[in-house]
Amino acid sequence: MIILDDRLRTSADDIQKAAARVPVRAVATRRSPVTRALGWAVAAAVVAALIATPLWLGAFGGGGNGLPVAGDTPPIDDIEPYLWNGADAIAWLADGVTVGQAADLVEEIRVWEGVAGAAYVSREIALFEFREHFADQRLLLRAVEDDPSILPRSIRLILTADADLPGIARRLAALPDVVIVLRHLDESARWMEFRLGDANRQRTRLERLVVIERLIELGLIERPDETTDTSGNG
Amino acid sequence: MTATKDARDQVERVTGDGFDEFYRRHRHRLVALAYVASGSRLGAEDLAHDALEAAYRDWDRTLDNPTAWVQRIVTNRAVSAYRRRLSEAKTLTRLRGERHTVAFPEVHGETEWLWAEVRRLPRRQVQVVALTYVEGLSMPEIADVLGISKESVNTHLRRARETLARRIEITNPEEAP
Repeated sequence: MIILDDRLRTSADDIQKAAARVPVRAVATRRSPVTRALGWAVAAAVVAALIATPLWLGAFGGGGNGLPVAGDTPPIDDIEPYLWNGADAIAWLADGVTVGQAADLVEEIRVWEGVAGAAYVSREIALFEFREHFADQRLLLRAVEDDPSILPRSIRLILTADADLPGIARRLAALPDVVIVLRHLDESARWMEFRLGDANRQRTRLERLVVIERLIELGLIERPDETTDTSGNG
Repeated sequence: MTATKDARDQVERVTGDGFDEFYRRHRHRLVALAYVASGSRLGAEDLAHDALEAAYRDWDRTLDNPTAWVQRIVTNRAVSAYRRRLSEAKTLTRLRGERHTVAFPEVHGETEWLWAEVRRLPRRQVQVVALTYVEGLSMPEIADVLGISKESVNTHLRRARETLARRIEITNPEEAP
C-alpha cells in the first residue's frame, strides 16, 4: 500500500508540473448591467417554468404522492454508482408507487438479461444529486429546493457491455409503474426531471426547460466582450 | 494548516478582493484535478476555468469557502460525461484560429496509466483519490469539499486503495513477466 501511495503521489506531482504549463487565459469579468438583467430574466423564466409546470400538469397539491415517506432513502454509498451519470437507463416511477413496490421492481429488473445492477433512487437522493450538480446555479437550485417533489423517484440501471439497451428500455416502459424511460443520454435532460401528466405534453415541457437551462448555462459561461487578463500581461 | 487556510479564505470572502491571488494560487492545481478526474486533455483546462469564473462572479457575495467550492465544482463536473463533452466542445471551438493550444500536456506513460486505473473506480472514489493526492487534502477537508462525512471519505479512500492495489498488481505492464 505504501508503494501505491508513493506512486500516486509521484504521478500527481508529474501532473501538477504538466498543469502548470497549460497557458493561462482571460477570466470574464462580472456581467454588465444589461447582461446581468438578461441573465436574471432567463433565470426568472426558469423559476417560473419550474413553478408553473406542476400547475400545468395538475399533478400536485395533496394526496399521498408528495414527499417521500420515512425510510424511503437507502444509504447513499449503496447507490453511489448509479448517480452522476453512472446509470445507463433510468425509469421514472409513477406517483402512486410505494417504496415496497419499488423494491419489488428493483428485484425483478435485477435479474433481466443485460442488467448488471438496479437501484431505487428516492427524492432525497435525487435532490442531493441535483444540489451537487447545480451547486453554482442558485436560482435553479432554490426553485427545486422549494419544491423537491418535482424531482421524480426512479429506478436506475447499470447494464452489461453487451446489453440490448433499446430492448431493455422497451421492457421498462411496458411496466405499469414506470411512466418514462431515459436511456443513457444528454445529462442535462436527465436533470430536468418532471412528473408526467401525459407523455406528449410532458415531453414538450421537458424540452422547453432543457433549452432554458442551457441558455442559462451558456449565458453564464460565454461573455466574450468582457474580459480581464489574469496572466499578468496587462 | 486548515485554520490558516480558512482564515485566508475568510479574508478573501469578507474583503471581496484577492481573486487574482486566489486564481494564481489555485488555477494550475484545479487544472490538474480536472485532468486526473476527467482524463480529458482537451477539457481539463475548461473545467477548471469555468469553476474559477463562477467563483469570480460570486466573489464579493456569499462564497464562504471559495477554495472548497471550486474544488467541489471541478470534481463534480470532471466525473460528469456531459460536462466533459461540453468542455471539450468549447475548447475545440475556441481553438479555431488560435495558434497555441490549451490542451493538457502529455504526461509520462506510467502516470497516464495509473490515473486511468483510478478513473475506472466509482466516481466518488475517483474524487476522493484525486483530492487526496493532487490537492493534498486531509480527510476532513475532503469531507468539506464533497459535502459528505469523514467516515464516508475514509471508506471511499480505503476501498479505492484496495481496488487499485489489486488491479495494479495484476495489470501493471511494467510488472508483467
